[in-house]
This record gives sequence, structure tokens and C-alpha cells, in this order.
Amino acid sequence: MERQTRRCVCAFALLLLLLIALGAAGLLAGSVKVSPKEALEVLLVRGEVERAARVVWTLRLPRLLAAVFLGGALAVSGFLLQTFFANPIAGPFVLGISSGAKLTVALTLIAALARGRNLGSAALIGAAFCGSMLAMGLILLLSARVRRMSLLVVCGVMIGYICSAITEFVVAFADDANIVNLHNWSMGSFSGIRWANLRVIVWVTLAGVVLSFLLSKPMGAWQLGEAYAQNLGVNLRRFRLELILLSSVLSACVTAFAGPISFVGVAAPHLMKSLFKTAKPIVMIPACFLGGAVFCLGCDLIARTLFQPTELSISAVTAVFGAPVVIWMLVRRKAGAHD
Amino acid sequence: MTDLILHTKDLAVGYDGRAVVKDLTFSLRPGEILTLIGPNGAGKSTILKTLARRLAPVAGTVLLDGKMLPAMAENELAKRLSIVTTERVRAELMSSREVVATGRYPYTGRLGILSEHDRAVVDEAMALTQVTELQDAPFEQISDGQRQRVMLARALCQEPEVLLLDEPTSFLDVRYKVEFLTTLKTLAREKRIAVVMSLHELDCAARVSDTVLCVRGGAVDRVGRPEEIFSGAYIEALYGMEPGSFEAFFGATGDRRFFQNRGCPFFPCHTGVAEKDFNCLFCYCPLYALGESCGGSFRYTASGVKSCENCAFPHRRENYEKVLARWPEIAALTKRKDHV
Repeated sequence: MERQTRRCVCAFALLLLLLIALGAAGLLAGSVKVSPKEALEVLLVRGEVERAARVVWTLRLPRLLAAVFLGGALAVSGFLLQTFFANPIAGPFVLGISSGAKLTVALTLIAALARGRNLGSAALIGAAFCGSMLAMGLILLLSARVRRMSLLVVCGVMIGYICSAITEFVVAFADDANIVNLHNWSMGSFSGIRWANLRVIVWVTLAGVVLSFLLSKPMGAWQLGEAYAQNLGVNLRRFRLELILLSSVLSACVTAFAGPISFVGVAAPHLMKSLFKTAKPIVMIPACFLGGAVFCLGCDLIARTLFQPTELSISAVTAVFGAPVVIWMLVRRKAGAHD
Repeated sequence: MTDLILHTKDLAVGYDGRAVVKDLTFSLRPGEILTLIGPNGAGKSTILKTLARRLAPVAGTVLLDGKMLPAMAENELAKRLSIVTTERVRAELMSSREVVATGRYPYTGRLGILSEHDRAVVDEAMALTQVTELQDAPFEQISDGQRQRVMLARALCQEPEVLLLDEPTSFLDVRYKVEFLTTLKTLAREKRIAVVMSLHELDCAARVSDTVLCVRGGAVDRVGRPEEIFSGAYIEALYGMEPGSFEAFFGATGDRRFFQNRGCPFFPCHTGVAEKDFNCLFCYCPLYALGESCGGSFRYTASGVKSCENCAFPHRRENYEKVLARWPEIAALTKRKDHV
């Protein structure tokens, strides 16, 4: 017990340190050089109109915060899905939920742009949420038929491909002017997020994560299996609904603003489980939030600075770091199964 | 009547409104053990699931301490009734103690943080089931027998009045079976917990139960004390076995190692051997398949069975050892391994 608590404190401290370090690096790094002193001034005074200040305040800071909150949301959403399906490789991207959201967002965007309108944050999230729920519904229907979890994941990947294909198709027929934006977004990126978006992002993700945290007790019971959860007094119907809604809202929020981002939802919770040596939701939900934030912050920093001024898509970077984690996990699990 | 903790009346259990087992009426006092026996698929698990409220009753009533089961609040039920299931528990990265502690769920607050008292209950449950020394061991790495005891400790943490166990000894070797059931019996007595469980091991059921309930063909075939159930030819009838085969194998009524299967379609297959001298476990002659060339003289009975008269291996008990000694040779010759 003692050791476990100490480990948690250390791990949380480590994550916070990483978050601060990467955040600072994110503010300073980039094609416009900013000194630490300047950056600090901008953060404290806010009002400077210098070039450096403008870059930090209007571009880098919102982007950084978006990476933190959206990355955290993605990891928590992944953890919820893994718990729900009792499958360590479930996640919003793997199960096709991100791609479902991507499809509906793309359709809504194109429809809106064709009428010459701009969409607000709420409309974007709404569209993404519809797409998430559609994909989730499909997965749930399949999961009633397909008992094998690996097959379910394959189905999810297929759903993801179908949705992506339709999105590509739609994008190809969109107006030239829209394409560039849409294309960037559909590849996944934290760029272009403004303060107005950020307000919505922060509220939605914080609400989602806090509500998930409040579900950590029934989630812990659920981890033992359905029969035990029910016997321990969990209202299964309500719990399932809450879990599905929360994971969908969280991943919808991410997709609405940053497009589909691969592997964070699977890799971050797994890394956190290894770091904290526990799968208890009460620890894992805050841990996943921080872990996802650090992961995305780091990946975004790389995406932005590696070949600057050209930007990589965030998914390209998260995949490079996330996919090996997933493979390692699968191999280890396979080995464990033979014990 | 007030003494009863669990009581069912005309209960029908099943799925989607279709009854699998009907007309269940039984009652249980604190500290008693009721064992469900019966063939696979008879509906033992369905009964347990209904008692645990995982399934709604198709008809009839279940009263837990005088209250209607379906009307009970979730948390109240969780404090009164706990389960040990057959399904394998995935307890990722959990120590045995953490698994046991999940039993305190109905007693903890919104976030499920354990109080001093909760910890004391966990300690006591682990001591009672003798798993204290396993508390830091990862649940996924302990043996099946240990795991089952940990799950029992978990169930005890709910401080139940009724404990439901679905085939709790299925994956255990004989030593663990005995240990587990002994612990269970002591606990039921000392903690005044009423236990309902399904068992496949009839010998265990006979020793551990106060009441045995036999489920067969969609209904309760019999209810009674173990001595009543496990006597005579009832067990064979329950499981659709040939009369006498259970006793022959288990020796339930003493040392009768030999038996005659009077229900066999070929009975009596011997005319040349006194009935009291032969044993149906060896009722097929090893040389039977060799037909005319088996070496002995025989005739066919009315039902078309070869009945030996002057057999090379007469079906006399004193010859069985000789037959068995030559068994490999005969098996190789006839290419038939399992006659018996």
C-alpha cells in the first residue's frame, strides 16, 4: 500500500515536470525565435504587441493548450473504451470512432462552406459527436455478435477505413478553397486553434474527464467482469450508457478540433499503466489525462519543429511513437497468455 | 418463517420469458448450505443467476429476508448477497488484496476509498480464507485454488447473508476442493451465511450440503437431505446413467465393486455364469469381436447376444485380472482399445 502510494506521487510529479518542460519548450521553439524572458513577459502581461509576443500569444499558447487538453481527452477516452471492452488495444482511433467523427465533421463543414457559412465550435463538436455515436453504435452492434476481441478491433479498423475513404471522396469534390483547410484538418493537426475554440475545448474536456473520474468506482467493479459489477450494486444499463457517452464526447471533441489522431488513445493509457503499475480507474483517469497531454505535447513539438517551417501531421508523429508501444504490448500479452 | 433468509415460491427461471426450470420452491436458514445438482444444461446456473438478480424471474417469487428480490435497491442487495462465479476474472495489474477489497464496494463512498473499518474487514476475510500471505501477489499469477479462495474472501467482504457459488470447485484439484469446501462449510456455520451453490462433484455435495436440490428436465426432481438423495439408484436416474453404474464407480453404498446393469438391453447376457458372479463393467468379452474364432463355445440369446458357455475367458470375477493382464495383447489383436 505504502509503496504504491509513493509510486503514484512520484509518477504524477514526473508527469507534471514533463508537462511543464515540454510546455516551455513549445513556447520557445519554432521559426520565430523567442527568448524565455519575452515568453514570460507575454504570459504575465498579455498585452504586448511585439511580433514575438503576437506569435506566442495568438499561435503557440493556444496550440499548446489544445495539445494538452485534447491529448488528455484522447487518452482518457481510450482508457474508458479499453475498460468498457476489456480490451487493451481498444481506442477511439482503432475502433473507427475518430474516423466516424471525421466523416460527419467533413460533411458538415463542406455543407456549411458551400452555403458560405462558418461553423462555430459547438456545431463542430455536435457533428463530431453524431459521427462518434454512429461508429460506436456500429461497434456495439458488432460486439454483440463478435465475441473475439481481436475481430472486433479488425472490424473497427475496417469501419475507420470506410469512413476515411468516404471523407477523402467528399474532400475531392469540395471547392478548391476548402480543400486545403479540410485536408490539413483531416490529417490531424493542432494548428489553427484559436482562443475562442480553446474555451470550448477546455470546458468540454474538463467536464468529460471529471465526470469520468466520478465513474471510477463503478469502473473498478466493472473491471472484474459484468457479473461481479452487477453483484456489487452497479446499475449496468446506466453505467454502460454513461461510459459510452463520455468516451464518445471526449473523442468527438478531439476530432472536431484537431482531426483524427492515431494511437494516443491506446499508447498513453498503456504507458501509464506500466508507469503507475496499476489499472485502477481512480488513478488511471488523472494519469491518462496527464500522460496523454504530455504525449501529444511532445509529438506536436516534434511535428512542428522537426522539418520547420514545414509541419508534419500530428498523426504521423503519434504513430511513430505510439504504434511500437501497441506492438510491444500485444507481443507481451501474447507471451503472458502462455504462462 | 422469520428464521428464513432465502425463500422461493413457485419460481420459474429462464431467459426472455421462457422458463428453463419451473416450480422451484425452497427455503434456507442462515448457516445452511443448499447444493444444486443435476446434469449439464439442467439450469443450475440459471437458477443462481436469478437468485443474484442477473435475470428476472419468469414467474413466482424470491424473498430475501422477507423482502421481494426484484424490488430491492441495488446497494442493499449488494450488502446482503454476494457471488462467486465460474467466469475467469481479469484483474489487470491487481494484487490479490485489491481484488478482495472490491467486495467493500457497497460500503464505500462516491470514489470507493476504503476506510479503516473496510481494511479491517478485508484483513479478516483474507484470514478466514487463508489467503493473507498472498495479499501482495498479483492476482493473475496465483494458482487456481488460491484464486478461488481469494474470490471467496472477496465475496465475504460484502458481509453477505446469502452467498451464491457457481461450480466453485470446478478448476480445483482434489486437495483444493476439499480445502475450499471445508472453509466454506466452516464459514457458513460461523458467520451464519446461507450458501447456495452448484456442484458437479457428487461426493463433495454429499458431504458438504444440508440440503440437496436436484434439477432435471426443467423442474426440481427432488429436494432432500444428502442421505436421502444419495441412496438407491436415484443418482443414476437423475443423470440418465445406467442403473448401478454410479455405485459401481463410486462405491457409494459400501464396498460393492461389482454390479449388474439390469437396465442393459442385453441383460441377462450370460446363461452359463451365475448372475451373482459377473460384473457388467467387464460385460463385454475381450474376444467377443473375434466372433466364431474366440475359442470358446457359446450360443446366442434371444436378443442376439453372444452368451458364453465354455469361454476361454469366462466372465467370472476371479478371471478379470487374467483378462486385464492379457489386455494389451488383445487390444493389439483386435485394434480396439476401450471395450469397457
